[in-house]
Amino acid sequence: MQRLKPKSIPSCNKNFIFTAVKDDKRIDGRSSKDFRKLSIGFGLDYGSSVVSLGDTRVMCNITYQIAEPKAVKSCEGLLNIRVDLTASMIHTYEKVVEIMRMIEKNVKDSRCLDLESLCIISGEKVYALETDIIVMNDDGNLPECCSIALLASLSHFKRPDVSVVEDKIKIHSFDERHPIPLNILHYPFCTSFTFFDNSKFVCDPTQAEEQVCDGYLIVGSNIYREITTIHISGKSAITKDVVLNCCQLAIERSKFLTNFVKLVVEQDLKKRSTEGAEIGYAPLIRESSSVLCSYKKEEIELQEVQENYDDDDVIIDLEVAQNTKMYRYASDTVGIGEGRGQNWDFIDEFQENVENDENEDMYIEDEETTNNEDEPDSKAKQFSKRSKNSNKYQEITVEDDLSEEEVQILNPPEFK
Amino acid sequence: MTDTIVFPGFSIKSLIDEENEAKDKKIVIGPGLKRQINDVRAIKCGILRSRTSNNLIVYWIDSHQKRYVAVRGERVIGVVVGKGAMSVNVDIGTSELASLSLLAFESATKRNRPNIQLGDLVYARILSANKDMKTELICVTSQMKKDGLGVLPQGGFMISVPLRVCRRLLSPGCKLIEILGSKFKYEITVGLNGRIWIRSPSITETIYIVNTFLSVEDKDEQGMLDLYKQITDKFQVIVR
Amino acid sequence: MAPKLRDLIITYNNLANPDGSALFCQGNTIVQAYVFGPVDVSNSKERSEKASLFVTFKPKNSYEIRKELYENYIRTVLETIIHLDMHPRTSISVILQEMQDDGCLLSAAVNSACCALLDAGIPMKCMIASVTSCISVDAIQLDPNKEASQKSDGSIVLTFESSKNGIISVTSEGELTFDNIKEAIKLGCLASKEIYDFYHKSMKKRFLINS
Repeated sequence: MQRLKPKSIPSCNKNFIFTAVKDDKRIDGRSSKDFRKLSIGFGLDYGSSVVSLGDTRVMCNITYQIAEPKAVKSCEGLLNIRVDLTASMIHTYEKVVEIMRMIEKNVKDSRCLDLESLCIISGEKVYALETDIIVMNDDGNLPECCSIALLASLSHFKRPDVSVVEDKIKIHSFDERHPIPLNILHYPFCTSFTFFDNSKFVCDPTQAEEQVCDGYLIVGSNIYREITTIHISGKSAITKDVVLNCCQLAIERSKFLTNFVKLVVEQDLKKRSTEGAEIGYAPLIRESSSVLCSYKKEEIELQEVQENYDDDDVIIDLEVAQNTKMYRYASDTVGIGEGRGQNWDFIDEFQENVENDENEDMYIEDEETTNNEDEPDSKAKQFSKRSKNSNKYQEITVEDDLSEEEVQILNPPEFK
Repeated sequence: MTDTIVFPGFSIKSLIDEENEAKDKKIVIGPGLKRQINDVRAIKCGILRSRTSNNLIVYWIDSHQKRYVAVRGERVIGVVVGKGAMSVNVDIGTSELASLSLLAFESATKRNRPNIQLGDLVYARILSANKDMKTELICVTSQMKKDGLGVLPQGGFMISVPLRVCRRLLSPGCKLIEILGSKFKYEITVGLNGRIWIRSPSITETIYIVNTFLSVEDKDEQGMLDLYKQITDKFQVIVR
Repeated sequence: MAPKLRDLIITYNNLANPDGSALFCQGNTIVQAYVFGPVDVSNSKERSEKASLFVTFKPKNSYEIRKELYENYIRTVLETIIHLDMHPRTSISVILQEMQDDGCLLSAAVNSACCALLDAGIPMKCMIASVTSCISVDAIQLDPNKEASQKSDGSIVLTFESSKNGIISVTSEGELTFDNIKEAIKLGCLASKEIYDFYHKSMKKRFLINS
């Protein structure tokens, strides 16, 4: 199987994502705590589901086999989870193992499934559930999407009824006896958070955000406020407040997901019981629903009416512009309000200060700096010098005689 | 003749002969078509288009495609992924990396090299594109002038779109860039390899403009007109 | 006897990452195909005069073992119709994911691979359509569902190509007589024309929306 190189990310994208996260903004218009649109669809067989979270799409299939139980746990069924990432083509083997272990820890070690109910003959025959989680499209947040798919499939799956006569097992087909659903004790969902700059985090990252992030945290939780797994990776050093905050958000998300999954499974099972209803993926394709067909992004609302450019640009009021004298220093440098007046009130004070000041060398350099229109200090110094000596200042453009009222200096200089 | 959808294996020789009965113009076969011994067949699925100029008729196929294949003379945006002594390796989205010589910039000499870092974006022109050789890029025109090519400024955001979207944006009939420009102040560079770079002073504006371009993918003629109307009506520019 | 195929539905480009994708639905048999290409290939697998083609068929439940046979069949069919010499030293990967199986899985897989290649813009010589027929007690049935194919004596999968309407590939299972095969080819020819018409219609819809 071919493996592709991951897409190269330009540094401008990385910087943009980091800067935007500081302001709680993301490239697809969500805020840092918003999740993408979730939709779930079920196939013909029990236990087959497709989940799409934005552009990320994951399919999960469950089948059963009859097998021997483990020697240690002879009255429990088996649950084998396999994660398949070949369709995404860019993931390394380590990533596959990481996701698989995450899901296993979350579902198996937390004992959310009652495996004892899968026992047929203790010590000899039990149901072994084979789960295949197939990633169809990876656009970030795989752990969450895979856990939703797995739990949706487990809640949807039904096993055939079985009767034990002496030593023989009889498995009844679905027509003979109603199939039996699995017994799920609680629903542990994974939620992932990615960190930028040690304290800013976002929920439900897209693939672009995952590739540039500093680190990530995956929390598995359920509605009983139990944390089933926690997994931190990457190079960010986060404090415990952040971890607790994330756990809180994960618990709220689990509540929403538990209700959503239960609702969707109920709706599908109801559809199957009504005669002539269309089940399976085919009707979903016909309706172009977003589970199987391309995901249509929502329109971004730009709420603020466009305001301008206070900081960087200079906005010139037309009336003022016509009456203000402007000085041109060079072909691309123009100054507004070149203070020149020799008859200012406080120049005399200046002069007094200057005369009192013993060190006159401080002011010698200022004569040469003629281009600093935004440094009132140096200008004031220039005037004092000029008024002492003859007018050495060279004007580039000749303007009309300047009347004193028009020209103002904004910040009177401070002398020590 | 235009607006017929053709599939691979479809022979267009009959269509060409019909059009070209009386006139004796030169026929140019463009992308998506392949000449076999006595026949011209389509090798991609798409809309067959043609354009007539003085003494040439050009035929080509307008298809949906996401992956770029290098063609000589096109301007593309690339990401620098490797640096060598005299050249850099640039990823333009094709199957192989392309090479860009450090001397192919305006007023560059052996001592005076341009300042390129890993991860920078460059807007370059494809000098040679051959299926058997590595693709070469240059950042100057044939008169050794910069003309907008070169390293893109810092900041901004780059997105990947299907190739059709880029061609549509650059076509003379599409006014999206101008209409957005009448409401927002932004810089944009469109590469024919399906990459668009956008820079705007504020983050919200960049996000809005980026998402507008991403949504062009599934809009038809009417959808584009609605989009223009929406942008024109929605925003006001305040001039104090 | 006019051939009757089940309802066909195609959705193009329904996945963001692959270069081309198609979801092909024939009755209740659904196959998702993705195509990546032309992309870089490792030195050991590169061929200097043509592109390397990789086909992976993934069944719904990974412990089933019928992959290799289907992969070989599909790869030989695709190698004949793709212009591999236009992209030497690259690789084109086709992945087929079975989503639901209600009979005729191999045909559905071949058809969806063709659609995904069209969507990705990979240069092809012609188009292909694949049809399955099953024979039971001298009655031949086109496009059977799972129940019917399990009850039949034998089945044959034919793949036709659009330029000269010839047969590219044949595979069969079970007992078949010469007459059965002739009959199957006749039916298959007619059915393949229906499938080409269906490709045309679905592509027209796609382009006219986005013209």
